[in-house]
Amino acid sequence: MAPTVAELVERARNDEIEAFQLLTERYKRKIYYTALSVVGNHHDAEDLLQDTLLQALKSIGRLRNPEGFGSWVLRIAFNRSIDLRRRRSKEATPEIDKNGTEVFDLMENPGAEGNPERTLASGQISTLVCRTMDDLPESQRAAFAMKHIAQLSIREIASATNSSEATVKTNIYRAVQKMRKVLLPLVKKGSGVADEQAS
Amino acid sequence: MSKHHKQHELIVSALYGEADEDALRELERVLADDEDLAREYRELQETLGVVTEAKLAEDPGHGFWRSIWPEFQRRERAEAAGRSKPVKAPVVWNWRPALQIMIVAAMLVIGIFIGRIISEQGTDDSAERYEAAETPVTLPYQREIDESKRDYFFEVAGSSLERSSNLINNFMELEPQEWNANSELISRSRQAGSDILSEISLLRESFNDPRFIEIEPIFNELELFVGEIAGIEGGEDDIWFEIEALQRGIQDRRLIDRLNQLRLRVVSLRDAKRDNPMMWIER
Repeated sequence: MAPTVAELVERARNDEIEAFQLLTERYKRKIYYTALSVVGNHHDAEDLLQDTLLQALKSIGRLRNPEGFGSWVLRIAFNRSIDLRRRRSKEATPEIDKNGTEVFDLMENPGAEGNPERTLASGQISTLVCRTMDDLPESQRAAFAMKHIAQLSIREIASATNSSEATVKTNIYRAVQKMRKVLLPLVKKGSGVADEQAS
Repeated sequence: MSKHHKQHELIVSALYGEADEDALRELERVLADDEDLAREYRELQETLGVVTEAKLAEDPGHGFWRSIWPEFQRRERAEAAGRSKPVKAPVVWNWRPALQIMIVAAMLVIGIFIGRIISEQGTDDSAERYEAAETPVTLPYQREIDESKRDYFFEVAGSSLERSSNLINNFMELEPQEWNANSELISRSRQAGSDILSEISLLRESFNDPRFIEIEPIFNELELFVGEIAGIEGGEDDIWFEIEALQRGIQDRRLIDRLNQLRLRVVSLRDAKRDNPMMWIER
């Protein structure tokens, strides 16, 4: 039978590095995708994953509830990621990338070339979703991204962000509302053009 | 909790398949009674369909997942090697540098003393100096934090926490609808929030000492909430909803109580430092 998380934590506390390796195996994906949800790029997410593991190994002796290792390690990942994102946003200079410009064109004039496939190309939808996410207030963006990118449950997000489930639901609701305002008109216009062309 | 909040929470649980049977039944009943809400629910489902189609993150591949543990071990070893660097040899007593330091210190004290006398002879602005600030928030701390002057750091941290506490207290006392009608209040709070964020960012750089580990989580939360307050924009019809959610978040986390506790802790650390200046010398 596979050891429980609490057993692995106890063993890791006794300097059994194999136990910590097993914990890493269990949580590496969630940690990586949580970081990715916040910082939005692979390179930083990878660094944050490693930082989180190092911090977890250093502090595992202070973890009060060994069963809560998962929430605890995700909270470390989230806090570090938020911190990095803030630092990055201060360093960044505003610029509109090529994809962004295309998306804005698309928003102003969907189906301009009479080609619904262009309007609804999945790459452009991804770009549009990402940009809409970036425009959300931080707590909404984080909750929405952790749901869709890290695939965490509402309870896990609440625990990682140290907030209540009600707060997480409210943040996600607001985020989806904003997505609806941006995405649905495009989808509807796109399918309208497609219908016209088909007829 | 308002009726709308409850409905929105139900909708989110149902959209993501996290609602239990009772909640689903309740949602069905609510949607049957409210045509607008039912249409909104369908549109949100449709939106999530589009979002799910969009590829928001790619799997970095097997190679990446396999490399995590070896990379972790490499970093752990590098860090352990850094930790076990030989400790600097103890300073051997030598009267010459000690005498030089004493002379410099004496010159500094004399310089400060003369500076004070000159400034007191200048304009008497004491009445202005102690005048109460117009807003609960004063100007931001602009200077770089100097590690060697931690007492000053604690002064600044204490005042930054106090101003954060004022900002959040004011924010909590507001009726959300009142907020939207008061553009001056929005702009003042945005400015205050943004100043506090800059300060926290500077202060955070001084939080590397393991003794401050208890302070870090609340600074993370503070940044999150103050950042949200600084990001509030007026003019949107439904801004009250965001404000209410923020107020609930602050309440849920007992942020004000914890801020006040942290302020007391910072003040006690500052006083301890004053009583015993040697406590900050690196060991």
